[in-house]
Amino acid sequence: MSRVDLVQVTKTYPGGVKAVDGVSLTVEAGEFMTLLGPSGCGKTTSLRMIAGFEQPDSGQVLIGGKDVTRVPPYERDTGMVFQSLALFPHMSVLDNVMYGLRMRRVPRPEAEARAKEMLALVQLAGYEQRRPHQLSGGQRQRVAFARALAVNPSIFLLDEPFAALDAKLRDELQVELRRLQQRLRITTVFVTHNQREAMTLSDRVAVMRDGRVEQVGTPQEVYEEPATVFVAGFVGMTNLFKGHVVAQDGGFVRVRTAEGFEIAGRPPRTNGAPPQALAPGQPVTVSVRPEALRLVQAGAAGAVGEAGAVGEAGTPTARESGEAAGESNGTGGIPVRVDMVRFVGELVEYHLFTPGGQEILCTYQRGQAAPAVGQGAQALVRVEPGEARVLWQ
Amino acid sequence: MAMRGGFPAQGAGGRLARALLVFPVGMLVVFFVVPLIMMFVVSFYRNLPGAGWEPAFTLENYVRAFSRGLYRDRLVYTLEISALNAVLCLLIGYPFTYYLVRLASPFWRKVGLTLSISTLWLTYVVRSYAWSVLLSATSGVGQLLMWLGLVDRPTGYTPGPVATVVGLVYVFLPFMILSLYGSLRAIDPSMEEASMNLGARPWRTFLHVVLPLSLPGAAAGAVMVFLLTMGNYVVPSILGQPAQWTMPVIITNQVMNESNVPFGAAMSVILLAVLGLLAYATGRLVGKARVNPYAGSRVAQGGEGA
Amino acid sequence: MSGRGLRYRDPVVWSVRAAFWIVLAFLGVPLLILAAVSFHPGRFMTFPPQGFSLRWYETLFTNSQWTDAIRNSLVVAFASALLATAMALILALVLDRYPVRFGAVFRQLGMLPLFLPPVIMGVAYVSFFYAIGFSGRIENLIIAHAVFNAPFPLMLISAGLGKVGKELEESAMNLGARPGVVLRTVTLPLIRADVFAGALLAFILSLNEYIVAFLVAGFTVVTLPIELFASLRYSYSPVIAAASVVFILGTAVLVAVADRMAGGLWD
Repeated sequence: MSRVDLVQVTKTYPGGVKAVDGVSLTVEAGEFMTLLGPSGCGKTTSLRMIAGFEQPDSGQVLIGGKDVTRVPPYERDTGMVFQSLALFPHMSVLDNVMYGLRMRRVPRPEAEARAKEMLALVQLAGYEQRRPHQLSGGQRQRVAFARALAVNPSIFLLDEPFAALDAKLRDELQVELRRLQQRLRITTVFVTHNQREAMTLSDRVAVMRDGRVEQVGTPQEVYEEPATVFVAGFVGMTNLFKGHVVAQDGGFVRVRTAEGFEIAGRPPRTNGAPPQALAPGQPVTVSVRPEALRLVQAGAAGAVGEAGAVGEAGTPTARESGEAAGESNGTGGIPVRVDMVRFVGELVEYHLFTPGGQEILCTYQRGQAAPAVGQGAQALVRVEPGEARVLWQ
Repeated sequence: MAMRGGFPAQGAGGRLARALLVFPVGMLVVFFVVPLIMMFVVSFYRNLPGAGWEPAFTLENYVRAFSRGLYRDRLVYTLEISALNAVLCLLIGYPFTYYLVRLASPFWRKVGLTLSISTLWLTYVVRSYAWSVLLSATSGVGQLLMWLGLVDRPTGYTPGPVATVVGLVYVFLPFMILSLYGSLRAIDPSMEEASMNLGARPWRTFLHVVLPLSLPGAAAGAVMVFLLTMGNYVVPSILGQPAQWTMPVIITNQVMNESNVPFGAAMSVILLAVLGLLAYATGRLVGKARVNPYAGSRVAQGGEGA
Repeated sequence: MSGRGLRYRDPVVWSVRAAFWIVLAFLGVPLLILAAVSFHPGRFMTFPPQGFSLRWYETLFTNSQWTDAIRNSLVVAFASALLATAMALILALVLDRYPVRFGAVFRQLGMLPLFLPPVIMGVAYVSFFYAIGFSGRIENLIIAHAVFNAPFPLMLISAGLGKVGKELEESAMNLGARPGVVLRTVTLPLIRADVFAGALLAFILSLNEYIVAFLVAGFTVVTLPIELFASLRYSYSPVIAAASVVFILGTAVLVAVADRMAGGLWD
């Protein structure tokens, strides 16, 4: 169990593509860190640099505080689970799990005992003599875990190991992985492009894009306080409104959107730096999660779930009064047309269009009192106070 | 192919690996590149009848090849018979392969393909010999025709023009089948069904869907057969009379019987130039379809062509 | 046309179907007749054979003219296949696993013999070996066949390495195996079948090759195809048919084995 540090690592591929561009990241001992991002964001390259399969052009890789930048992969003491799992097809399950131990010159009886112990830990006792192709997808996955962990590595690395599995099996194995990791308290770096997977597994998430780290934080922080427009859009669903700052008063920034509506939101994250004042006229983007939006029937006296003084909004002339309402409640209403209502099981989705043609998504949890508006109806949308976040553009 | 990051490029292992390359690359340079250069050089040497050659720089070998009607005629004949063979193989191979590809049972498809290309590996000598038996007066067709009462006494067709053409088709048809099989197999049968569903009769479906889609494979196969025929020695020399001898036969006779290596080398250079030009031209014509003439020459790997 | 879209009464379908069987017969019958002739007891070939005799097979395996040719062929095929496979294995492994300057050029060079007409290669070898004063030796033929046939094991081994993929090797390294150990415990065991299949192909091709062998060492090292060809000039003895049958059977068996090992040569 050791910590991992990437210090200003950069890797440029032939052809000039910067796969990783000045990434600095610390994974604490025993922590489960997920590198999250779309394909080509540099997450896999970063992982492969920790494992030693790629060498950075500049910067350092530290494992347990020791510089291993130039140490070859076979001397690094990491345990890696590959995307394809890479189980050796010509060896039995037992030989697969023993491979790393044999490479470390552990005597055969000892290695065998240890391998069997690991197989028991992943509930595969009795499968020792099978060949990988005789196992189910989930069983192969567990063999890959056992093989990587049998050598008791200081770092556990996983490169999208669940990508090929169906949703149900993936869920089961995620729970199993998390349990295994907490039991062994092993420093773990996990790579995925699936934000749900990242949220449910990790202690902390590093969101990457174009070879850079956009934000590092707990799943909750990343979701609730996205640092950039990209993070807001990539982690969970969100509605983005472009606009410019009208004024900053107290805890809120008032923003006028391109369509002329006003939304109040919390100021951007400062990442520890002293808060920067937002000058009026500064272009920004406001992010509002679909579940933070509330739908109000046009012409009705109050919002469903919360009464509000926005009843007269909904006509162009009502924008002035909406602005006034924004002072206390965070926003006036945005007039929308209901385009589609979808029932998704645990939630109901409303697909809405503003007069300017921007699509807005609004969701209600099952059991929440959802407004009775149907397709084609005119309605108003309100932002729950404090739920909108202003982001630098 | 992209380089693999797996093995560390630096260090003793990488150096050793690259040092090992000296063996295969050295073999290829010394025993492939150098002989070809040597052939080119020798083509300018002067032949000493009965005593090998003497180093010189003379164009007399090339002048002889181009000025004598005999050699020009042989080159033209080689081009003609190669083109004829390509057309015949295409005409015979296309319906055959189409039927084969559309066989419903994968088992019979595999059996059919295996049978039809099983002769591919067999030496040209045995394959030509089989036809010289079959077309001779004493066995095969000669006897058959007499038995049927069509002729009074058995006649042989070998050696001669008929035997040469039959032999060439026999020897190179498997390459055509293999090339067509790859491209016809790649056509999803549901495309034909879609065409018929849209109201096209079978003939129109074939004309508008199957034929255009299989054209690259057909063209590649025809080019392959054409170029292979141009380079073949065994078939025309076993099944043909001197009038059916192609350039490779003339070249080999010069080298082995006349011991005139410089002249043989000069004609080889000419043949290579013609082949190269044709391969380039047809490669551009056929476009993206991969034409690997000699990929198939001694085998061919389905679809990939090589 | 038969499987999907059933239109049996269509005359076009009928003629295509007939053509299919005619072509199959065209391909198969000559070899069957050859086999029949080889059992003819008389001194000259006739068909249909009058009687049944194995005397020509006996001649083939006892007459020194034929046994020498068989031995030469086997020696050349074995040695050249070994050499070709060694070249191909090193070339494929190093170019696939290490960054090498001009690597793509070397690979193309290794494939190039495939694209040259054998007659021209033969003349090139005549010029070369004569110029260095080293003509007519069996070693020449071994080298010529090795270089000429190396593209086949090269193709098969490269394809095999492609199938192994880099993740298996990386995972071995991740578990602590040094590159040499990775090669021994993971890579080589996984491409073993491809290596054997490639060697077998090179062997078959050398065994069946005529014109390069004839030009390189035709007068001194007589291989089986050369002996067959020469016999055709002088006589029409059924022993030639017997030799051909042995050839056909041997080639068929070896191709089937190679096909099996490479997991389908045609697909």
